[in-house]
Amino acid sequence: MATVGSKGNRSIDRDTVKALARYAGLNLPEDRVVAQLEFLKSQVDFLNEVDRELKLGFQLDDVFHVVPPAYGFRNPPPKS
Amino acid sequence: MAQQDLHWLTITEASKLLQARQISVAEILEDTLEWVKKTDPVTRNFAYLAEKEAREEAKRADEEIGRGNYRGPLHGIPYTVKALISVAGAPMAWNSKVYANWSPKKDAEVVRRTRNAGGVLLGKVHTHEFAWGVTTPPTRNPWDGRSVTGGSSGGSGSSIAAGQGMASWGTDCGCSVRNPSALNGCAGMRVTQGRVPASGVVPLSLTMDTVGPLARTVRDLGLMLNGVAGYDPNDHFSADAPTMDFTAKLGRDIKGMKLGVPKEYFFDHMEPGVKRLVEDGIGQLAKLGMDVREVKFPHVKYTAGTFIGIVVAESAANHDEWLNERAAELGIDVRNFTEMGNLLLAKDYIRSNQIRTLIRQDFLDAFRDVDVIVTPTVAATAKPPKDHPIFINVQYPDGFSEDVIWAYCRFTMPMSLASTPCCIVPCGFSDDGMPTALQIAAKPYDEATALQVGFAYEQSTDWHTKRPSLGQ
Repeated sequence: MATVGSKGNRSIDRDTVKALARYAGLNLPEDRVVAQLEFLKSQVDFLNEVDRELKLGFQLDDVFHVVPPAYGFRNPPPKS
Repeated sequence: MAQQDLHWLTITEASKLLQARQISVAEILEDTLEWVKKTDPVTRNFAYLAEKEAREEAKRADEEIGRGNYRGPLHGIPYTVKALISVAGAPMAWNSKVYANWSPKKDAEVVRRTRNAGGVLLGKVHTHEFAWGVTTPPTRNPWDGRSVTGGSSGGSGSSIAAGQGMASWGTDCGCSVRNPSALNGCAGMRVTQGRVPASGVVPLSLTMDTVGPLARTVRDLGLMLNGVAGYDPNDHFSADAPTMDFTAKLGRDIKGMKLGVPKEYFFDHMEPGVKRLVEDGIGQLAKLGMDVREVKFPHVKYTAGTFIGIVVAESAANHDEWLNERAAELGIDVRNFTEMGNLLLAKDYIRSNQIRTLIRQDFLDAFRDVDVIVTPTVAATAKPPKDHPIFINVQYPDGFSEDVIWAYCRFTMPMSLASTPCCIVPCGFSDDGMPTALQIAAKPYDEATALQVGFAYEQSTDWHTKRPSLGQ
C-alpha cells in the first residue's frame, strides 16, 4: 500500500513565478506575483492542515469516504 | 406627523397612510428628496439620485391609488438599490473606475418586481468596489459622520439609518447586508440563496451571493421580501418552489422556542461593549421565554480560510478580464484578491468547498435541536479611516488585532458557507456611541422564523426608534 506523502508542497522560486504568471495570463511584476503566492502558500498550508485532520479526500486506507464539495449543493426547496 | 418627518416613516406606517389616502406619494417623495439633499453631503451614499424618474413614478402611483388601484404595502414607497444592481438607463459603475461610463439596458429582476409592486426608486447607493470589501468609500456613517459604513452594501445601511429612503436592496456574499445593518443600526436580512432573484446583479461569488433587504424594522424586511421573492428562471440558483408570507409569524409568541448560542468561535476576540450588548440581547430573548441552550460547531474554526479559498477563485472568474489591461484602476484590495484568484489551483478550490460541506453540516446538525442560532453580527463597531481609506486595524483588549475586513465578517461568513438565512436586528449602542446588532440565523428556507424572533426582540426594545442627529 502506498504511504500518504506530503500534500500540496509549493515552491516560490523565480522560474516557478514566471512560468505560473505566464500560464495564468497575468501581466504582473514579479514581486507582486510573489506576494500573492506567499499569501496563497499560507492558504494551502491551512488546507493541508485541515485535510490531514479531517481527511477530506480519497484516502488510501480502509475508509473510502470522500467529503463532497459544496459548490454543487443546492438547498432542498421548501415543500409549501 | 409633521411634514418634515415623512422621511423617517417605516414602510408599515407609510403604507397605512397611503392606502387610506391621508398622504400622497409625492409628499413623501419630495420630503425624502429634500432630506437626501440636506444630509448626503455628510453621508455620501448616493451614486445616482433618480430624481426625475422618481417623480414620474410617484405621479403614476398617486394616480393609481387615487383610482382605487392600491397594489399593496410597497406601493408608493421610496427605496434605493445597491450600485451593483441593474437599473435600466442608470449609470452603474459598481464603485469602480473600470465601469465608470457604463449603463445597463434592463432592470435587474429584483428591481422589476419592486417596480411592479409600486415601489418608487430614489436612486442607487454606493457599494464597495465589486462588492469586494467592507468599508464602501466614499460613504460615511450617519451616527458620527466620520466612520465607515461597513460593506459591501455600505450605502444601503447608511441610507436607511439616515432616513434616505425606507428600504434598500443590498447583496450579501459573506457579510454584505449584515454588517452594514449592524454598523449603521438598521434591520437587514440575508436570505437563503435562491429566495430572491439575483439575475441582473453583478456577482462576486456565484455560490454564495444573495440579494436581501435593509429597512428600519423587521416587519418592513418581510414586506420587501413579500414583494419580490419567488422563482426566477434567469437565476441559476433560484428555488423553483412556492414562496411564503414572510410576515406570517410576526407577533407570534416565541415562548418555549429554542435558541442556540454557539460555544465556539462566535464570541472570540470582540470589543467588550459589543459583546455585552449581544449578551444582553440574548438575555432579553430569554426573558421573552426562549429556551437558551449551547450548540456546537466543530468545523466553524476553519471558516476564514475556507471562505477565502472559494471567493478569490470565484471572483477572479468574474473579474480577471480587467486585471491586465486596467489593473491600475482597481482598488488595491480588489486587485490583490483577483490576482490571488488567478493563482489558486483548482484542487484548493475544491478542498475549500469540501470544508464548506462540513461547516454546513454543523449548522444542519445544530438546527435539529434549536429553532434559531443567535450570535454577534460584528466583532467591533464602525471605525473612522486613519491612514488608509480601506485598511483599518482593530485592536481588542485580549491583545488580538485584525483588519476590519475580518472584524466585520468573521461572525457572518459561517452562515454564508452554510446558506442559512439571517435576520439582523439592532441591539444597542456601544461605549463609543456606535450601533451594533444581533444576528439571528434559522435553517435554510426558514426566513419566517428568523424574522419572528427578530420581531419579538425588536418590539421589546426601542433601539429601532433611535435616529442619528443628521441635519440638525
